[in-house]
Amino acid sequence: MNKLKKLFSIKNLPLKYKVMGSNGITNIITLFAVCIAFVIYDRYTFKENIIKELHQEAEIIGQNNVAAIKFLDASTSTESINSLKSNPYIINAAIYTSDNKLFASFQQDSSYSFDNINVLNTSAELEDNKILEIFHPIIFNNNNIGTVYLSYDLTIISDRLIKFSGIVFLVFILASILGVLISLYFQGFISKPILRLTKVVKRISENGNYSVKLSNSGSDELSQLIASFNDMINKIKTQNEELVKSKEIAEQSVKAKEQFLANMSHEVRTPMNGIIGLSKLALKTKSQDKQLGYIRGIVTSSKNLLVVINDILDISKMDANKMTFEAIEFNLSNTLSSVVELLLPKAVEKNIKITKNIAKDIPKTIIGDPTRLTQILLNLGGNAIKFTKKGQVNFKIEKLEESHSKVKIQFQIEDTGIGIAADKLDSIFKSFEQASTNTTREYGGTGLGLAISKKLIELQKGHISVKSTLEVGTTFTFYITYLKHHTEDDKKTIAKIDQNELSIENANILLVEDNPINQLVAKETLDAFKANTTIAENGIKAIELFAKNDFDIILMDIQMPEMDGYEASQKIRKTFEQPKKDIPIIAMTAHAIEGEKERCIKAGMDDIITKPFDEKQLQQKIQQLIK
Amino acid sequence: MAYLNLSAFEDKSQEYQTKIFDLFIQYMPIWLNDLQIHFDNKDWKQLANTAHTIKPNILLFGIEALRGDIVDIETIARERTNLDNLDALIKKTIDIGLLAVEELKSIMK
Repeated sequence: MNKLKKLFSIKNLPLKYKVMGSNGITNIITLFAVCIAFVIYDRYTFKENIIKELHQEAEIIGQNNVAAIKFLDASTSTESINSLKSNPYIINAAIYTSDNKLFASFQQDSSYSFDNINVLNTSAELEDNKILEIFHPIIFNNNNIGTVYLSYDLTIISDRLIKFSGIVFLVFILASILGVLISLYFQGFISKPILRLTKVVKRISENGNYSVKLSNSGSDELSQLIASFNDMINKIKTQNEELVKSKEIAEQSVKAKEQFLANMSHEVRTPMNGIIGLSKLALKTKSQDKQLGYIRGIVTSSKNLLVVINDILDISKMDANKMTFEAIEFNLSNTLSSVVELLLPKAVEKNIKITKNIAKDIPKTIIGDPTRLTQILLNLGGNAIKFTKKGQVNFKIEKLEESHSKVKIQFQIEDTGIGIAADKLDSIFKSFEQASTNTTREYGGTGLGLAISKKLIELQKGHISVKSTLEVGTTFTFYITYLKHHTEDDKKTIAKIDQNELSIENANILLVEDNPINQLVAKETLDAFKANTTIAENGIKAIELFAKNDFDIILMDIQMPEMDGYEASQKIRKTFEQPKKDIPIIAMTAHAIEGEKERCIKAGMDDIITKPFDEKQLQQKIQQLIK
Repeated sequence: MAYLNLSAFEDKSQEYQTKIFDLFIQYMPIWLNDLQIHFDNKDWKQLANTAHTIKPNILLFGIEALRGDIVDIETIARERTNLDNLDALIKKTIDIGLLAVEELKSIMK
């Protein structure tokens, strides 16, 4: 029962029938109400017309019989009244005199008696049991001279009602059918797009295919709905694609991390096992020579372990986008020299020659991260030595492009080593990839070096490439764009100072520095230039000394206890009189944090130098300010 | 040398070298200890200041293994972002810093 109820519930009907039903039922109810009203109205007006017509007929009969009544000619009246026979619904008719006496009559029903009629002398109608009685006065010269009586069979009304209702019903049926057909035609405009939409939604939910689209040409609300639906599907499709991509990336990342951990645990365990094994051996033996041999082995394993740990930390930082780069001034030639110096022992051991060639047009100093450049060069140079059995490793530095503020520098590391097979060239920059497993066995290493170098170069907006021929050699080429240190004005000034032979001999310098190592380094440098140096450990002591003595320049550390370099400089500029307050101040800072120079200038300082400083540069800066 | 690069002192007098090496041996362990204390106390400002103090000395003594890390410690402590990385960085800095001190001690002997 419940199932049947559910099946025929309006809620469960298809949209098509709901639309048709709502239109059809509304039409039928309206039509039915109209028909009923029409029938009721017709019955009422028909009866009114009958009464009106009967009074008109009675009036005519009355007027026609005035003379007959006056002259008491009943036969003429009877003849006149008999003419009503032609109307089958007039049952009886009579003419009464003014004293209510029957004067003439006509009877369709012979059993009818006129004697029982209570004659009314006014115009009136009485209805009783489907018989309508009409009384109509006969007026002559404003005198009532008689009354016409008519009795009328009202079955005419029910006869007409039956006929009329039949016609109305036929019209009602035809109009209803027409209404349903029109509703059937128009419901398609509403239900079809919704049904198409339903089918598509069902299909999408079944197979998850968001590529489907609904055709749409109109501009009504349903067309807008379809357009919005298409738009929504498009967005879901895009979002899904992005989610799939993110999922793939996340899965790859997890896989890479697992691989990373697996490789790293192996890489860490190998030297660690060496350290533990050799330590045990060193503890067991009493021979000092053997112990020394084991300890050397421990040192080597420890160094290998350190390389692995450093690589892990670097690659983790880069993977997490947490690698930071310094922007400090450095000398490219010095950097390369220190790299070569570090590589030299291994090269000498293998009897490999290292050469370096720096193009003459390379700026002497550039701004960038010398630590990371050293790391890259050590990595590539170290690999070159590692994979070269005889011959040489060449470092070549050239200028590719130069603008007012930047210089693009190309670095080449060329070796005469074992080379890399062409099909391995693409994969050597990936983490843990080496040209072959034999490579790992024979030469060692984590396989992270090239991946780290590549990322370091790319993070500095550079690019690395490799060319190699098996058994002939390999050339790694990369470029990085660096900022140039000096503006043209700076260069001119420095050139001028160079020409005038720099000298700060006998200059009285107040060195404000709390770090004893930095104090010693600065004093040693200044002593070498034959300057007179007085040391203050913090800003407060510096001001005390400055108040009592005359100095040519102050070298001011920034970060100090008690009073820092910013505050001390501000106090000097604000509290002392001219010319003392105008003393040149050079800030000495251990870093080149963004905005540091601006902050120092704002605090009243004249220039800035980074620690550890280049001695020549310090001399130039002092000379420039005290001359 | 495993941890140090003393090329900055090559052309300096023996007296100067002895003085500056003594200072390094004396102060470096103190600063490294300060790093750990400030990290443990989550005193990021002091941690950044200590890293800032150590930094030029790491560069001066050519401790290549810590060049980038000491900058990272200072940057992280100042910006107070990626603080999760500090623990490993500080451990590494202290370990290598102390190894460098030991290496310098053995050189001086």
